Amino acid sequence: MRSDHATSIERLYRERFAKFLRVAEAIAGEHEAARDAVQEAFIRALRHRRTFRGDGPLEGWVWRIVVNEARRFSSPESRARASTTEHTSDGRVPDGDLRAVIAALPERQRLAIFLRYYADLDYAAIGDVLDVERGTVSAMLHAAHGNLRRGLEEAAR
Amino acid sequence: MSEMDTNLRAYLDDLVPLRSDSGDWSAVDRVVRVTRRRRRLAAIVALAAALGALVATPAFGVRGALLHLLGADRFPRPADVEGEPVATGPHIILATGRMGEQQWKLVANESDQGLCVHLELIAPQRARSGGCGTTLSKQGVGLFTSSLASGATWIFGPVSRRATTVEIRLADGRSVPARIVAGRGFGTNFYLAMRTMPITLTAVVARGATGSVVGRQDVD
Repeated sequence: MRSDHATSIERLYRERFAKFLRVAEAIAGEHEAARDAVQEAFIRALRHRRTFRGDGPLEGWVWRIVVNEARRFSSPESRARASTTEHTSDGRVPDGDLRAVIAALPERQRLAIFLRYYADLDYAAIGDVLDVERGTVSAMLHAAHGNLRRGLEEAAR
Repeated sequence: MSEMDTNLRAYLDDLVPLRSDSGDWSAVDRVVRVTRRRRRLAAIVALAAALGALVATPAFGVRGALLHLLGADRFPRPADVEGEPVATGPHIILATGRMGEQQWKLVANESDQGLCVHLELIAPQRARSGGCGTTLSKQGVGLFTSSLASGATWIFGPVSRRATTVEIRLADGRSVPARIVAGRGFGTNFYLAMRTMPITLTAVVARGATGSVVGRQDVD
């Protein structure tokens, strides 16, 4: 018989796969690598579910594994591509510039942005994933917004 | 939601769009199950190997205990006399019989000095002769004899499993065939010949299926 954790992990996968994939893709930089990272993360979660101590939500524990796997799957090529710039004439900030601005953020600010906007996690949940207090998440996101604003303004000039 | 939030969300949506991908849970489940099965199999193989080593090594005594449970002779006590072989496996009765009134049995066991083989006279006379640590590997055949006062003689010993015939050569030029006895797990077979008259041996010769000599012991 499967344990409750196994059932919960499967439910998380089925209900939130698209969000896990999106965050993983933002971190890894490539769709296929992100998909592999999410698959591998859930394999690890299922194998090591007995090590989950239950001192926080299971979802936070799974998110941590997904984030770590996505970082592991992040290729040097995708990181290099994130720092390249593109030029458009329609007034929008080019994707390449946005990537570069995001890539220039400190890693924890970048992860907080991904978890906030791609996973729709609240501050408490982001704190669980990044292993920081809720107030720290608030400060990190505030700083990230400031950095992004400045970066995007510079890119738009 | 602030303007920054709205703009940023729009930018981020463009950068990594939300995909309608529901994943493949069966692939995750399959990998975990296969790994679990492999781990179980590896554990079973390791356990079997450990048990095999326990049973195969006479010093652990497990093999003896199992054979004892299956009806083999009990272990003898450790030798009381210093230097005497100490049995590390059970005494296995290879053959029994009667020559006239005399009952006998051919017995083998592993010891700390190598393979032991003895002919035991049970009744009416009681005696035991044979030895341990025979040089079977070098000569392909070992040689022991046991005699009664009447002159009745048993010639016996271990012999290579490649041997299909064993011939006892006598000083008067004759030769007599010996019976080959299965080794019952000793890694070697045994042979046994009986004569009711006193004899003088010159050699024991074991031959394989093609007639080639696979073991020979000369008596000087």
